[in-house]
Amino acid sequence: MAGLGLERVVKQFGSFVAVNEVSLDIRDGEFLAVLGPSGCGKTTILRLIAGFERVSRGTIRLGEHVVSTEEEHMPPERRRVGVVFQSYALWPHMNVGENVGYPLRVAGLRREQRSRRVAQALETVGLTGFGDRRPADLSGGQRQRVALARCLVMDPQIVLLDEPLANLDTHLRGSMQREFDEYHRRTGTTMLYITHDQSEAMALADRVAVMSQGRVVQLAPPSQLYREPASRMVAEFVGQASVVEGDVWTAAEAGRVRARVLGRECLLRAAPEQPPQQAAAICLRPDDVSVRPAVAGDAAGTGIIRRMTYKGGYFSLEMEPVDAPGRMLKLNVQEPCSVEVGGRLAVDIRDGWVIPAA
Amino acid sequence: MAGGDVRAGAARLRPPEPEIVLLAVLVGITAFLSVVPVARLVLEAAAPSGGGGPAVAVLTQPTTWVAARQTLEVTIGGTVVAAILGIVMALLAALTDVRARPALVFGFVLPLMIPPQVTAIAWLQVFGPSSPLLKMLDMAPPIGTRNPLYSRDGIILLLGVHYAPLVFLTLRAGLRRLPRDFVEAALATGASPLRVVTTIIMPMMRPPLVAGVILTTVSCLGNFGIPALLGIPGSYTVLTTLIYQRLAGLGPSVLADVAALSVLLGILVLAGIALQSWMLRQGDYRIAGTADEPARFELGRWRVPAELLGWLVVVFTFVLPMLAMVLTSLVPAYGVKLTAANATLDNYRYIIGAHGPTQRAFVNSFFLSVGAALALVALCMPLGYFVAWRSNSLLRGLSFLAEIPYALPGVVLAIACILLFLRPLPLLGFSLYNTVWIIFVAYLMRFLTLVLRPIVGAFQQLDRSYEEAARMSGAGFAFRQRTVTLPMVAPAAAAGALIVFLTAFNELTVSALLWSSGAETLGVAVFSLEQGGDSTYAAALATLSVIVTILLMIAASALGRRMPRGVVPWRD
Ligand SMILES: Nc1ncnc2c1ncn2[C@@H]1O[C@H](COP(=O)(O)OP(=O)(O)OP(=O)(O)O)[C@@H](O)[C@H]1O
Ligand SMILES: [Mg+2]
Repeated sequence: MAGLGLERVVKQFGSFVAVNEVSLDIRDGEFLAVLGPSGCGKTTILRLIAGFERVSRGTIRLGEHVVSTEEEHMPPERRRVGVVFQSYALWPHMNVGENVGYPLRVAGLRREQRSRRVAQALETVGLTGFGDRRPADLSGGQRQRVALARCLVMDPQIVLLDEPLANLDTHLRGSMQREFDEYHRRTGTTMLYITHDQSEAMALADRVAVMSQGRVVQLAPPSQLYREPASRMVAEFVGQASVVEGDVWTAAEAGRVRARVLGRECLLRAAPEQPPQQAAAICLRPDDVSVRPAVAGDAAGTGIIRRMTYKGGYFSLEMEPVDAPGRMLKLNVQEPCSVEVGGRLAVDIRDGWVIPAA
Repeated sequence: MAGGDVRAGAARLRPPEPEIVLLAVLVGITAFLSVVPVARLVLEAAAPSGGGGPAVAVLTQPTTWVAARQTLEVTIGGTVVAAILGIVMALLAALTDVRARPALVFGFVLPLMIPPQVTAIAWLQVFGPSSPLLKMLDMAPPIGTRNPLYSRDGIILLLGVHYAPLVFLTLRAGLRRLPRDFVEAALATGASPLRVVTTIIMPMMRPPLVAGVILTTVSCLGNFGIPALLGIPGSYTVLTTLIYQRLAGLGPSVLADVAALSVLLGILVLAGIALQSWMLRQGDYRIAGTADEPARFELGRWRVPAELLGWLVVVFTFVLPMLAMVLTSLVPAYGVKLTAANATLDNYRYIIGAHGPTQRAFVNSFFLSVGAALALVALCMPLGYFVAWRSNSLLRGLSFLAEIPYALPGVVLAIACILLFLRPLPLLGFSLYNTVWIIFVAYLMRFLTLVLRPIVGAFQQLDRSYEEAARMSGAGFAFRQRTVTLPMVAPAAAAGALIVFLTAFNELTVSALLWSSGAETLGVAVFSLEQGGDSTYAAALATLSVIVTILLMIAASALGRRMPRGVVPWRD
């Protein structure tokens, strides 16, 4: 196992910049998730680390060794980086055992040694006895495990996974998530896990790197990512959030500021260097806001319900605040409830996060 | 899992990768096989080897212009016949619910896979005073009557029948990609099926139709077997037979003349191809949507008549001539009426057991076609990898150029080979001319694209991550090619090799100009027997080659099931 370092890595395809000045440090044994919308450059980063693409600028370090710079490029076959491909990439002309044993065959191991290690790897992923099957005769989840076993058998310095669960159904996804988690805990392998599913990233990773348009916009543990998003994009991408405007009156003191949001005064969390600021972006999670039926006297802090979606046990609402027409505030209301689309509610803001100005 | 156990640090300098060496070798061979013959012809057109005098003179001779005019006549006629037959059959096979469709398709496409000289021999046995069929029906014309196929119209008919499958296959492929929605949308407006075909389907099918028709035109222009066996006895000369007769009659001394003629023929063919790409650039024919469910009409009570029509076409274009040929191969002497009592296998015994040139031809054609197929697979498997996955403009240009020796008429390629190899090879000091090797090299040039295309296609359909998974496992270039990528494109390579074998085994046009005594090919043997008047022997030999062809087609079909779509032309 080894840590991994990316330093101001740039990857250009022609004039298009797919990865822009990305710096990442992954600690030995860490589980890092890379999260971002489609086309933001996640796969490209993985391919750069694995060595399938050359960097345009910057440095990639694996353990103590520099493996990619503008001039030098260690080919993937010498990096000992395991990759679990989204398509699994199991060779159809080999059976499961041959697929898993391929890295050992490359390394020149004897047949007996090979079959012992293959059996071990298959056991690790819970596929004992599947060695003679064809990949085509496996279920999606089983193929996924074979792909993982093929990685493990080569004793990789780091395992890269590109949206490994994207092709699986929801149930299987949950159980595979648990298995990845368990596997990581057991072996302590450094893992880089690519996904566009924020709940997957939050559930599995020690830290999450959120990417947007080729850049890493925030790198933080899941709870910090959720509670203290560094930008509007992160706030909206991770968890359900409404970003509204508010006026911050005081500088941050013990992590808190006084502010006025949607016509209501409230105490919000903020970064230590947060100054007083007009029209700051405020991240409100559904749980930060409590609602009650509007009464005649309420002027500030009310809004009209525009949409209601039943989520099982509670409703998710979208409310258009009177003070911010055109914006939608996301709220949750427990069942049973008497509100309906077009009705008026008043909100109380109990918590929230001031998104730092860029 | 020891930490930091990296196999080696990053290389200081980029190592001289074996891939680069391999690529250079591949590019060199491919350029020799594709660029060199084309360049030699271009040189010939720019600076005729006759120094301009006689070569230009040949272009002003009346015989040249008669042959050119007659070439155009049979080409246009043959294309029209092929288009009508091909379109009707494609509509029938692709758009309707006729039964036994695969058998119908196979039966209709067969004539294309049978070499033209065999088609000609077979059809000649249908008509004429010695036709075993007509004799059995006592309808044969009196001895001495000319076979009506020895004429322009005979050539047109046979070209049409022989190449109708080209129009059929391209149009059918287009129709199968046509999403059902387009047809159903039109039917929903109240249009009748016939109207939908004429106003929606055929206009949308213009690109495959143009492609198929022009392919047919180009093939008719370059065809040699049919006008040679029908036109030479009928004194109806076209450009390919003119070149052949000049060269066969007078030898390499007329090389400058025939080179000028083949440049003329080559220009006609390239004009056809240019016309096609121009026509396809007119208008927008992109089709949105996918054809998971191709369009299909239910014929109802017209289904049986439609099926009858389809099978009648197959009977008349394939079964009848083949039957006549097989019967001819069984008669004891040409012109004798065949009965159950006098049927004999003596003709087969003679050509297999006693006729030296035919025996040599079997051996030569076998080794030429197997050798060409294997050599091309060995070249194209790695080359296809680079063309498909490491594409750059050099490789793209090369794979385009590789198509030209196949697109050019075989006669023209043969002339290019004579121009290239008549003189002793530089450094080596011997000449390939008058040996079997000149035919081998010509086959490599001509059939390169037949192997390259399916292999490139297979690579393109193969997910790159298969190779990348091997790289991350630590496999170097050679090892991962051997264990991962090549096995995965092997079925396509096998199909390409089979098609090369099939085509080369019966090939006539190229070898007709390049063969020498001892270096006969099967095509030349059949051709010489028929030309020498030994029709019964010719029929027997032709029958054997048809049997081999059909067996190989069945083998290719079996392989085709594991193949990317479109590699085996007559399969779905
Ligand atoms: N070989 C290439 N040539 C040109 N552009 C490329 C190439 N590979 C990727 N790109 C572009 O780089 C951008 C990032 O691609 P990448 O595959 O890394 O996205 P991604 O974040 O993995 O997206 P997804 O979630 O859809 O897989 C995209 O806009 C893509 O079109
Ligand atoms: Mg991706």
